[in-house]
Amino acid sequence: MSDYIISINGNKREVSFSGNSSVLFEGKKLQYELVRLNSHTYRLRIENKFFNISFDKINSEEFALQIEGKQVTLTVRTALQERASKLIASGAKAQHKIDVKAPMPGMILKLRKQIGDSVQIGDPLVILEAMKMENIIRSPGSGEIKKIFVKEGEPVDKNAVILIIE
Amino acid sequence: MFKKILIANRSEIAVRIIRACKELGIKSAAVYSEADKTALHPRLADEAHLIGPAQSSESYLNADKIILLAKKIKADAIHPGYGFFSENAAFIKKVEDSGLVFIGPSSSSVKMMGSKTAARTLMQKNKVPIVPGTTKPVKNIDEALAVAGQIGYPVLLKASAGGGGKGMRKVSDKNQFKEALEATQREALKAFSDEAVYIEKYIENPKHIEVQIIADKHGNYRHLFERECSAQRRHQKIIEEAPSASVDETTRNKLTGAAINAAKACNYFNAGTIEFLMDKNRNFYFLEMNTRLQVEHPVTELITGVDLVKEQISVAAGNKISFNQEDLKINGHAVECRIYAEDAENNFLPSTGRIYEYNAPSGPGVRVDSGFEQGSEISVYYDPLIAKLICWNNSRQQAVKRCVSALEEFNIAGVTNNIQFLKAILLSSAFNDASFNINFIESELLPEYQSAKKMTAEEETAAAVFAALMKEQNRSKNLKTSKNRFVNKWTSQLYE
Repeated sequence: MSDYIISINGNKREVSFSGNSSVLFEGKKLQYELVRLNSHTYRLRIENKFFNISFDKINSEEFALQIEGKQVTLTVRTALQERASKLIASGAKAQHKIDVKAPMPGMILKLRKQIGDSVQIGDPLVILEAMKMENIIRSPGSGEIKKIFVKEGEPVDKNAVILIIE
Repeated sequence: MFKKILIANRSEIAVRIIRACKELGIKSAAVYSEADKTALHPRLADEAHLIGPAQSSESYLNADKIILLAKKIKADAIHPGYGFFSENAAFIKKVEDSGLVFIGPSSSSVKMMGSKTAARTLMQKNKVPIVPGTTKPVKNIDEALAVAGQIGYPVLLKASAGGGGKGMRKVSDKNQFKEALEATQREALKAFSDEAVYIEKYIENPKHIEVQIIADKHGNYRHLFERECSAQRRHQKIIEEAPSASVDETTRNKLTGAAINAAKACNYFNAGTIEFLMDKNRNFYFLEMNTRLQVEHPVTELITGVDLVKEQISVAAGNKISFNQEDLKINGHAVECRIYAEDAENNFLPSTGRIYEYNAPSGPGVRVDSGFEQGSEISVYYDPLIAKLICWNNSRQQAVKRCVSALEEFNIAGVTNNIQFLKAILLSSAFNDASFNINFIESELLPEYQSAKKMTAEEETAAAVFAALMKEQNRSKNLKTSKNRFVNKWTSQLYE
């Protein structure tokens, strides 16, 4: 299942989901239960302890939480996003050119972005219809869309370059 | 008794007065500004009247508008609460002249206590100990230097018309004196339009002790013991309690006696508070008299069983005080915490916004006086008090414990508040052994608090798991919605 890396109070914590009601926190299995109290507030049970948590999403990675009255801002990334953010941090200002290719032959159903749009890792770029199924092609990196080689409704071959992100 | 009272205030104190009116069978009329449509007081009052835009000067401080409104709605009295018009002699005079009753002292009593130097002179005449120093503003630098040399450094320079900790400066030796005097005069002129400055001996690390009194229009005076309000930051009280753990019976008798003398000296009627500074040898000195109801009045109510607001209204209506001095005794201990919309982690910057989660604590001995509810908006226009938590118990130690646990129950989200900071004060050793003084928060507690870890390991784990859950939910939701979008498109394309 999915792995998440959470940066909280200067520490990195690993959380992964192993079932409907349990979670692996730093490799330790914990039972949990989540109930929504209202539009902003949830109640979370971890093992035998309850917490009221209100939250505000700052962006796709950052959350501002208030847990039992204590405020904290934390970052949550998938393992992939975490690796990417490390790469970005280490590569600092180095220019990266990413070719986004069609993973299979099909038809470009929808272009979600235009030239000049800035994209974050994981953002949907293109919907590719293949074998009567829609496939979302997500951005493998962050940057700006420099070139688009396809139009909506056009067929593409496998491994054809759809667009370029820098 | 009155039939209808106009409450010329807002938020928690307006709510407090509305509740007293309901118990007395008096109709309550609230006023509210454009910014207070979501506050509690307009909803709880029998009637609510829009008084103007958000700025206080155009709404809660618009004297003519308020008096006119009171006349129009046939109110027979105006309750000023605290702040705003409560100690404004000119406003009180206007109310008196309009034929309405001001629920407070006479304008002349307020005037007598309004000037610090005049009040000091009056107190000295009436056997109320004052801090050594001048009772008149200093005339020139030579006279001032002579006085300072006589009483001994360090001294405090204070604006005669000052209050609330503004226009005050400590001078440690005579080399700094001239510069400090000029600076204080400039500050006084700017803040109070009066450059008069007087000199007081600087009391090292004192405690703030005050005595609650009430007097009627028939010359009866009662005291309701003392409160201690030494937990202050920048001269603003944060936590108050009654009684003081540092006042013994002998000192209490002297303090309350002096307080009654002070009230008599200005022909006082209404509830009032005489504030003192107390040094470590339990010498106490008159600081000022507050001629109004105080924010911290509930702690006195909880240890005496007297409803100060009801009593205040009754006295204003011309009734005699309903109890004798010997009927009163101190029962247990009460602690009040002021919950402010401010960020203790971020230099106490005021915080604004909508309260989207409001869960107040409850249980035996727990009282919450609040001005807001879930959905209320905290605006930039007024003071940042959201609510007051007041806890009573048999002993001080138990009252403090009850207060800590109630703070843990209190949950206000959407507006940053000082609940965690209040808890840190209550848990500090200086507060618990009652050795704290008015400087302890800034000199000892704050540096410690800012470096302390706030969250428990359990809370950190829960926060991390929660964030992962939100991300996971969000991800599956995104996939689902895009699929739906696709299906819709697909269908329409089929029919095109």
